[in-house]
Amino acid sequence: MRIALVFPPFYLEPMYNMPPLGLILLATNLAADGHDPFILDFPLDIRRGRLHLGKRIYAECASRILEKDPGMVGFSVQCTTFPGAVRIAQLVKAQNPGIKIVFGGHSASAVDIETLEAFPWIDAVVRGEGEITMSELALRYARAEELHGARGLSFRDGGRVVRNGDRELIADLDELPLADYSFVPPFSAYRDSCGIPRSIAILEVGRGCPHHCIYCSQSVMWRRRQRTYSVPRLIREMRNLRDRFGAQCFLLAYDQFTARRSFVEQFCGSLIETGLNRVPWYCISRLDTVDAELLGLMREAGCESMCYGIDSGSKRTLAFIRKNIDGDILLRRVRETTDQGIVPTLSFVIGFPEEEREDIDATLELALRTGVQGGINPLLQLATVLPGTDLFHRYADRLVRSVDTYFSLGIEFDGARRLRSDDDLIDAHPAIFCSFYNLPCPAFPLEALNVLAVGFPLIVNLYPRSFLLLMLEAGESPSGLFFRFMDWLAQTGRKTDSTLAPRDCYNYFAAFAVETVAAMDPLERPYLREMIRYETMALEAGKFDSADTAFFMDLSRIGDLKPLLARNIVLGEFTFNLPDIILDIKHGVLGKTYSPSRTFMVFSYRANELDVKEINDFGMDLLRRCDGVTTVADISRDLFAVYGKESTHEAFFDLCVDAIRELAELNLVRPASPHHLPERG
Amino acid sequence: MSEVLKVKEVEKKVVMAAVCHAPSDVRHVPT
Repeated sequence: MRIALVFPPFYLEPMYNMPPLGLILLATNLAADGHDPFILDFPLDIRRGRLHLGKRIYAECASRILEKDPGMVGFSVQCTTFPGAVRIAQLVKAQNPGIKIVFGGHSASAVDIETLEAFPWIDAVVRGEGEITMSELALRYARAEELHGARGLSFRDGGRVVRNGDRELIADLDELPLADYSFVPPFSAYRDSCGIPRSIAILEVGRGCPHHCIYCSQSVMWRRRQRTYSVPRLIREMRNLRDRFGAQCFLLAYDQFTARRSFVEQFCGSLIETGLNRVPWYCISRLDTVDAELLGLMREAGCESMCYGIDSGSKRTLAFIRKNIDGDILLRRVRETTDQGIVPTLSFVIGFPEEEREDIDATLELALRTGVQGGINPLLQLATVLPGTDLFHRYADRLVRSVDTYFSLGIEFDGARRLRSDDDLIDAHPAIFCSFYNLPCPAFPLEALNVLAVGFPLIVNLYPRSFLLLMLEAGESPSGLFFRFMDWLAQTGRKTDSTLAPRDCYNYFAAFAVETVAAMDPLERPYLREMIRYETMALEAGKFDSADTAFFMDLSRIGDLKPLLARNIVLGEFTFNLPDIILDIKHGVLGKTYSPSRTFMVFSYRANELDVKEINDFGMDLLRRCDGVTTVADISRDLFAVYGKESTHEAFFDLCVDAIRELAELNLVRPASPHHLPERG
Repeated sequence: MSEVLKVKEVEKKVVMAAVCHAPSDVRHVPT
């Protein structure tokens, strides 16, 4: 049977698309069972300019499906793409009623009966794990057999909707064939059309999660059972993806990657042994299943970044969502992660229906305390109701439509707005499209919560230490100070809309903080002013969009060399010992008194990485004289009176040469003119 | 004794979404 597998249209500019692994696994399995599947990846078509946004987008998708003349069309449905899939399916069925329409994926699995009852053009819903059920369904359709008894399937039988029993989960995932990526365009097409530097492949490591957090659809899909592929199979798959398909980076799909330590150790050991550790990867983990030793091994094995679901800083909220995690180990684990050079994405959620303002402030403060560690990527989301979850079952009668979240954006196909037909569907069927709805929260109006969710991560990213200290000085809550900043932006005419953009934070937070501090003099923490300046300088260094290219310093005529401070450098002089203060803040020490102690800092920025170094007086004076005009000989003469005690001019000159060489090696200075570059031959 | 250059690492930090690209986060990606 000829089977179209459809990835419905989705487009959100800042995100990137990857090959649809779920559909690839289905296609691989269907082909192995003798069917003739093909994949239509509409999000990629949009990225490549081959499918245009606009009111006719669904009609265009339907006509592309129909021109391939399939006997069956399977739609992979997730929250956001659900309404579009319903509309496209309707158009396909209207044109050719003989085509069988099948829905699958998290969302459809949870609301199978509702979906079949609401949309008569959908013939069946494959619930949960789809590989075996889809193959059996295709076979039964091809042989015109009845569908009763096909496990994992809900379907229309004349005017009646029938729900067959659940299918057993696949006992051994290794039995599935290796994902055949030839069903989709090459990784490079995804990479280039999304403008990302590397080809990213999703590697499915396992399925399932034993926890049952109130908002999560994983436990609905996988019935709280965990399974992993074997390590030898994963290594074979990674080799295949790298060597045959050109994968340059892996995204490990499995929420519980670190749940079993021996598995992670075996996996990492094999990566190191086979040299696959040179291909970076990203994974999802829990803070209570890692430690410094395991993180070190993961880093050695190629782990570059990982996501921790922290969710909340409020014990009350953690109990409400049924998340059992020891809050005391959290900051230590985050620090251990960043110490290994792994960038953790920390996911927080605000706006659960029972949350009071103190609960949300506890989460915001926790986000700040992780932000002060540096090198983290905060993600703050509004609580979203997913179909089939306990959150849905308990609060279905409270759903309202107010603001968009991560789970409802990406189908703004009519200019920057959703299509009217999509909104009509969503309005008419809250139970099916509940991810487009919100739950009112007693702490704040939903619009204010959304402003926090969008803007607060910017503070955590750009000014975490200044904000935290300012909060303590002012005796204000995180949300209180945040909204005071927003009000200040509006009152001073710097901003007319209510959302905080990176540029607003970048341009104005320092001015707001300085003004606020001025009104509070004297400060309990006089180093706060310096911290504002430190974090501002760190941003200024990042302003240089391209660092100097690599250069070579010709030292044969070093005395004549006129060193120049590299372009991407900011020099700072501080009256307190900020490195010590930062270290204390990272360890949660926020009330200590410090004596003034002059320090010099060099901020540099290269390939998205900020590097801050402390330098001594001599180094700072050297750098300040690297103006591209003054020669090393002149600099040496100039500094001799201050730093050359008990030395000869010659010895001090040599010392300056060594220092300039070291600064050049650190990419802090470069030769002023091109004639110092080596001859190319 | 003459002064010699002293440089000490304070911190390194990957600059994230706020000032550059979106993070490679699975939750951002339709798969």
